[in-house]
Amino acid sequence: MAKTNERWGSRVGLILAMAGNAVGLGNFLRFPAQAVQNGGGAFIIPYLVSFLLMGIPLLWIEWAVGRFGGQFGHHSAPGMMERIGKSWWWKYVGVFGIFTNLAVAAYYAYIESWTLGYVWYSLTGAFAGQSAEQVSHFFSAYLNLGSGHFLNISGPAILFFLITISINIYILSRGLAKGVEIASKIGMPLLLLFGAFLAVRALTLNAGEAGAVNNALEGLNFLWQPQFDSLTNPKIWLAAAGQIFFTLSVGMGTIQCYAAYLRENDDIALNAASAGWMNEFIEVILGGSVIIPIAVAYLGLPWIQANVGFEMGFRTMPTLFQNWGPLLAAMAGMAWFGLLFFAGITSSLAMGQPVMAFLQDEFNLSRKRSALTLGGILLMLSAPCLLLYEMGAFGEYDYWAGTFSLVAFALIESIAFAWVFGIDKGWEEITRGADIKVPHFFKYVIKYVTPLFLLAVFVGSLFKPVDGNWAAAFSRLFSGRGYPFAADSVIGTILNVGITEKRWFIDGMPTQIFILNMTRLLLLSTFIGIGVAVYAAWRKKGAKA
Amino acid sequence: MSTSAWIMMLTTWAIVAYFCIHFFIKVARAPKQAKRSVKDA
Repeated sequence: MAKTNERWGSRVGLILAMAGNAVGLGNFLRFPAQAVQNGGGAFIIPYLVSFLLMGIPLLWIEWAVGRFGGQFGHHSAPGMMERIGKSWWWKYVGVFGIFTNLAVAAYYAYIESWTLGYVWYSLTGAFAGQSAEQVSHFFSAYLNLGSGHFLNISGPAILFFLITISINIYILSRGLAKGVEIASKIGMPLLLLFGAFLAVRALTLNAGEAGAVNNALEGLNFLWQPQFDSLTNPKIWLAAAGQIFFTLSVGMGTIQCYAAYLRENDDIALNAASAGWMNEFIEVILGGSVIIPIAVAYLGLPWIQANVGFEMGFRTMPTLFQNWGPLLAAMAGMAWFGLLFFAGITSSLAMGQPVMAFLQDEFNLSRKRSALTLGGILLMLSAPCLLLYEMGAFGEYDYWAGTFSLVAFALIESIAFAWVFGIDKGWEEITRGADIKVPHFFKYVIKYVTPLFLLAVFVGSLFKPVDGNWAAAFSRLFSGRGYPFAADSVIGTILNVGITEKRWFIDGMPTQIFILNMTRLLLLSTFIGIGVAVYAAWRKKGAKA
Repeated sequence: MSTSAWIMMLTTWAIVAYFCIHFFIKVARAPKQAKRSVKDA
């Protein structure tokens, strides 16, 4: 088996790459939306508690698993999980660590390409003089939405997507130190610079100035007004824990992969803490100070509460920037979409690396061939997301790979680390070579609290009731009227709750439910396919040994 | 913006900024390990 001898070029480079992996589009688009939808200031306390009891311990677990696996020449999850689980079948649990990265990268790179496209359009003044409706329509036209066609085929969107994939593959083909690390060293400071520029501009917006109708601070007031009575609401705790998951990129196999390039006695405790808190700085301070204050200043709080969501960053922000004059609008557009692009690419590179490592370690492929293979697989896997966006394929990828798999893998991994590998060995792994003293109580947090926290998140996602109202749901169940699964609960999704049209074809044309089921089948086949690849790789190794 | 919102925001920002800077400075002040990491296997 070919053992890669790649290493990180510098410690700061490693931290920036790890932070870049965590800092993604969600820091600027998902965090503010979650905070607004979950009671503003009430959200932040569960969020920080989840960070301390679940986020930081999981970071340490994943860094430890990665560095441990790396000592045996494994830089991807299957080999690492086999070592941690001490039994042959654990490598198939590690399939999650390849599958999630492939499937998430397939749709994530598409969003990343929108940001690249929007940098171009901002710099070329494409939004100049356009009304709010026109800018919103621009987004629909860019993705070819609402045209009545079955397939969403859009030339510009496909072009920018191909450019984005090519940039990713090129950087990955250059290797860890010369590719990923350099990209992180350039991308992260620029992201901070762009974020600071927009945050300062946003926080100094006053009513009557540059077309603003409200003070931007009203947005911050809503975001930060404490509502302590909401702390007893499980819905908010689940949302906060979920956000910590997405923002730290845990449960994916990316952290383990990056940490696998460390040496046996290199620090992981301080590195993990540094990267984790850097992500929080960017999310809480910068992410919370851009989109909500600016949107509230121009559109008011009620509009935000009704419209907050992922697409808002594309449909709304370019219009709002137009109020700042042509030059500042172009600069703000470039800064906003540029920071989203850098946030996105540092994450998508991290998703590509475990797949590359798997191909290099287990199939003896060269770096360049691995990168090209990854590019080919991504192009095939992303096709449904691009072409069937409106039919829901994109959402299915996000749900099963970007939500469900993360929680499932992190739960199994935390149990494997604390209970199968053993907490004493695990603690020794976390603290060996540490440049900080890790408080001893975290040993018990990792053994008991983190797995229980994850179990609560997992069970919560399985059985989430309509409106997150658990009391009403159980009352309904015990009164014999059935359990009201939310449409976005795991079971509700499998049962297609909320979809009224159950036929697969109407007049020979596939319906949404057909597309959703086929997408699930594709994702399941991908998962099984990776499992078969793992089986083949180990069989080949067994034959050689 | 209400006083309680200011307190909540500034306290959270202070905690997050403190730990972010604190840990990053610790990383930057540990040159020996950085040197050890740059060597290829």
